[in-house]
Amino acid sequence: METVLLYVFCVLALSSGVATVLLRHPIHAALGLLSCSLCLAAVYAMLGAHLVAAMQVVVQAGAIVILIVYVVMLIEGGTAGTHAVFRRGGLIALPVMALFAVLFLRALASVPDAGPAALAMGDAACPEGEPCELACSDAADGDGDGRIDCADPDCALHEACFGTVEAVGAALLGPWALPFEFSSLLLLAGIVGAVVLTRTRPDPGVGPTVAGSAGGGTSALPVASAEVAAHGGTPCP
Amino acid sequence: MPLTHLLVFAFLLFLAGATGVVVRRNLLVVLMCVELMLGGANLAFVAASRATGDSAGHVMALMVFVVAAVEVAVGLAIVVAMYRQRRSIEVDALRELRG
Repeated sequence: METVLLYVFCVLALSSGVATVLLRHPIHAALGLLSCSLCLAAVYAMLGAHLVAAMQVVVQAGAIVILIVYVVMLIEGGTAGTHAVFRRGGLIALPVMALFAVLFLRALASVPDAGPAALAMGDAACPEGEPCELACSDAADGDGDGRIDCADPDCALHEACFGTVEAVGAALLGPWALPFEFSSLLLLAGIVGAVVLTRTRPDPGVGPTVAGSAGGGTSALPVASAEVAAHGGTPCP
Repeated sequence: MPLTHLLVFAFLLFLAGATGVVVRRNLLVVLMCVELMLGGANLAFVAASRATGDSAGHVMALMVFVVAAVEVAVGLAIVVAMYRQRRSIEVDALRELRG
């Protein structure tokens, strides 16, 4: 039953993705992306990746799709409906994608087809000769390292712990701490980039605060002040 | 469900996204198709993580979320800036660098 549901959600995710590519209006494409994200979240949950599934719903289906829908509304429905959907010469994609498929099939031949592994129980991650947490659901510190149950990396592969916040969080702040910290740098760069790209340039010779008040809007609303500046005859940067 | 089937689904999702990036004219939809490609990569990570019993795939999936969020923020900023300047978000409108 669960396997059937897994296939069903995979097919739903794939068909929603194809709908995203094919539908004309950007809002419809965004709905396809939303459906695809939710189906992928279901697939993740069934694969035991509970934290990733929750993040998929919150970040992908929530924040990103909402952001895209905001921009579609901001720029007049994405200026859709009057132009052709596909680019001229888009057929060149077919041989390229066929090449991708050939490469993928060659790579797939090297994947060991073991099926979903039975999750290792208890002591699978224990190194030899060291104390190890063996009972992963007794709310007690079994090996005396101060970490209890799923928060102990020894239990990361236990069936009750695999993919939970405790296990993934222990991995994220343990061996993966450096990439985790660098991801915050990436987010900071993204924030600065988005602000710089959507900022309106003040008139030369006039301070930015003066230009902001002269535009009739506050500097916290760059879009609104840009519209005002555009209608006021000032050339848009 | 064997790992190869999940990988095939992940690849097909990636392929749908890549095709959309190449053939669509609307820059917003191109961004959504990039999201589809990242979703396919994420599915491959999670499937491999399940098959090998290694939670590093989950960590990588969370990193991909970060990359997707940053990409969509900067990409949408570019879309808005382009619409202000040209009143159009057609991909083919960007031709300045053509030789």
